[in-house]
Amino acid sequence: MRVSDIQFSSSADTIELSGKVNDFRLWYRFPSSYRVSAGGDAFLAIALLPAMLAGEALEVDRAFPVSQRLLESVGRLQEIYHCWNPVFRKVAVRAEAGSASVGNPGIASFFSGGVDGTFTALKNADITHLVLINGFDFSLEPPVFAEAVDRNRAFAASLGKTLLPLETNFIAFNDTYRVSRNLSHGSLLGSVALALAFSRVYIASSRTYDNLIPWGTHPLTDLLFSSEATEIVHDGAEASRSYKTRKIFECEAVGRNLRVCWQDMNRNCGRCEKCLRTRMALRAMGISAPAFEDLHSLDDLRILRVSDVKEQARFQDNLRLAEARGDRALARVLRRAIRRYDRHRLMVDFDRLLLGGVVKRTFRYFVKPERLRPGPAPDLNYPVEQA
Amino acid sequence: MRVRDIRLTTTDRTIELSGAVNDYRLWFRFPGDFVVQPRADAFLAVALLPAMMAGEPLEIDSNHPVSPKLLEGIQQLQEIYHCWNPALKKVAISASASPATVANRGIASFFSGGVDGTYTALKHAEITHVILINGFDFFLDASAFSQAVDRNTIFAARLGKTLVPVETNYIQFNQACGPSRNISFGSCLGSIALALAFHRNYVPSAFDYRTLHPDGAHPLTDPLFSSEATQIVHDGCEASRAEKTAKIFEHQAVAQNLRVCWADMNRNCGRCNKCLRTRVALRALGISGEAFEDLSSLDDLRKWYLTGPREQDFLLENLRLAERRGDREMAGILRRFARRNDLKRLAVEADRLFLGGVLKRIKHLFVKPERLRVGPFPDPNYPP
Repeated sequence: MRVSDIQFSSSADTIELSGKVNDFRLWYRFPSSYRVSAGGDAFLAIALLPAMLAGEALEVDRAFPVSQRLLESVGRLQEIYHCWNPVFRKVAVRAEAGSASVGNPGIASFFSGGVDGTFTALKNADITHLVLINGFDFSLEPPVFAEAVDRNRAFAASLGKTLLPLETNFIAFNDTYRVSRNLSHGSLLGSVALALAFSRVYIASSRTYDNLIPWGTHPLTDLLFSSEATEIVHDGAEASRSYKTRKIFECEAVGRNLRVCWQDMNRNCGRCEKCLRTRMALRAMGISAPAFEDLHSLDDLRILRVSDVKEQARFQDNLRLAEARGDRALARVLRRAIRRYDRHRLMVDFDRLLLGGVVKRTFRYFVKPERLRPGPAPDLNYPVEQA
Repeated sequence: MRVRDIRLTTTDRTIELSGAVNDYRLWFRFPGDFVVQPRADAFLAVALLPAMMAGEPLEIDSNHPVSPKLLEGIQQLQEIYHCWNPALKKVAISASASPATVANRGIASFFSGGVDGTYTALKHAEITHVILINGFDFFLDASAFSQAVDRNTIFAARLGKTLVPVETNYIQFNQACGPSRNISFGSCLGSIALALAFHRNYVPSAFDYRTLHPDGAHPLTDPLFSSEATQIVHDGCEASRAEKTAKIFEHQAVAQNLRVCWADMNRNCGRCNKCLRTRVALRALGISGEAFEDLSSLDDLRKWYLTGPREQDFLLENLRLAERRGDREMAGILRRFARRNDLKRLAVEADRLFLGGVLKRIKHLFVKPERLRVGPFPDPNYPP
């Protein structure tokens, strides 16, 4: 796999950094007031997983030097990815080594308006810039993104920080190379951090130290994208989601800007899973928030399902809070959801251990399991035998 | 909690670093030809968890400096420990800071002759010293330890490395005021690395990146014990235990020195849990090793008892290896063990979900569950 033809093009108000990863041209568009690194760092970071999946050596055109420190870390990064999911093979990385230098003054943090990014922005006073990306986990129409930029710019300013909006075609890139976003999102953040080359860039964690699992952003991998110029810091793994939410709502103006919705970047629909979970957490803590309708009727929560152990930990966290506040109705609903998940798992085990998996096979006869994109863990439905 | 009265005492053959943690005098004894500085770094590292367990501020006598980098690392360590088990509380630390300097030339790694330490020692040619500790996870009488030192000195020399034997009363100290060894053993290693102050010190891992979990030595916590002078590196997470074993047995001379036994530091009894695990891995890998009797009859395994998620990982990995080699007898046994664990877990869950835990309560009427020492996880039987 080859990274080549890295170039800049500027228009009136944006500067575009682009480069070819084999035949795909990946681009990032930044506001033109920022300096963007012309080196190969950003593209090495993002091309690593596709190369590992293809099992092909990764070559960065010698005209675009790569940070020595990053080159040294890439070996460790590969060891971790390979250990997590062996379909990602360790490959040779060939590039001209250089030394990165700081591109922009200040300290940045990634931010999309949700719980984790807002918490990290509040916690670290040294942050001067909040980086909002279009084309990372959502791809918004220009007017919708413009609205999000306006709102978050005002919000950032209220915290004394500057919003740095950028756009990318990463989603299309990721669809081409077919790596699961659950794993590749960390390398996109690393790549953007390296292109902007602030002296430090925070990545807000979504999991806590006691609940870490293989995942795209992780306290063991994020910092490995650092260069001589840019230190990448995974931040916030000490705090549970409910603690973060409580901190955010200590300040009404901050709470008002919170957007967690999967349906709409600019308002919280209140009905999607993510919104409902946040409303549930707010009720468990007894917080009334302007950005969210209070959860008076618990009927809405019926659609919520505990999907995995990590989600179960969050439900349990909320259950503890609801019990502590004496909110027995909510506690009952949460207990029921947790129990339903436990029972489901028990049934799956029962089938596997005592019925030889006949229920699963019957189910599979009618519903073929989706073949997952290679991600942070092996696909159990389609195991790959390793040499 | 207070650390004070840090002293260096030399005899003709050893240099002892000791300090009082509250009223307990903790000591480390090093060979006399190594340089040890009268700093408090090692004591800060080892007193942190007892202080967090007591929820008391930790005060270090200002006559003895502490590395500023370590002080910073300790803040993050506290966040991690507290997140793992909230029974460990975040506490204030007061100490006078002054940068640490390298005391001994070379690069060290911890080593007790087992799979993880041997793998790391083989992997890094830059390692010049391997550190063998008495009083850390075992406490040997003088003659048994000197036998272990002799054997491992020869072994280290064959690899071109120097053995550094260290003695400590850490086990007793930790018994007196510390939490479970499962969470505290990393701080003892950090503390010895800081006292010897090599430029770099490896801590061999016991788990790979996929099976990581809160534990005393961990790639997120070990580096936080580093100072300006000493970089502490958690090493070997890329390889599973079976992969490490296979690497070691590529060299018969290296494998011959392998000691994994819980019952005896100087020979492998072949019967204890740890020995059996290694013999199982060797058979699953199809390797014959002099240090271990081949597992030809599987009768030895009949009374084997492995429970818990880590053991299940181990069983499944070896099962996969045995299947791949077509060792159907071994695979059959491992499959049976794994299944027994699964069934037990199923029964516990069924009791909890469908019987409201009545079986568990009846069991606890007769057998009170042991109250665990504060460890890397909250105690499920005694929630705070």
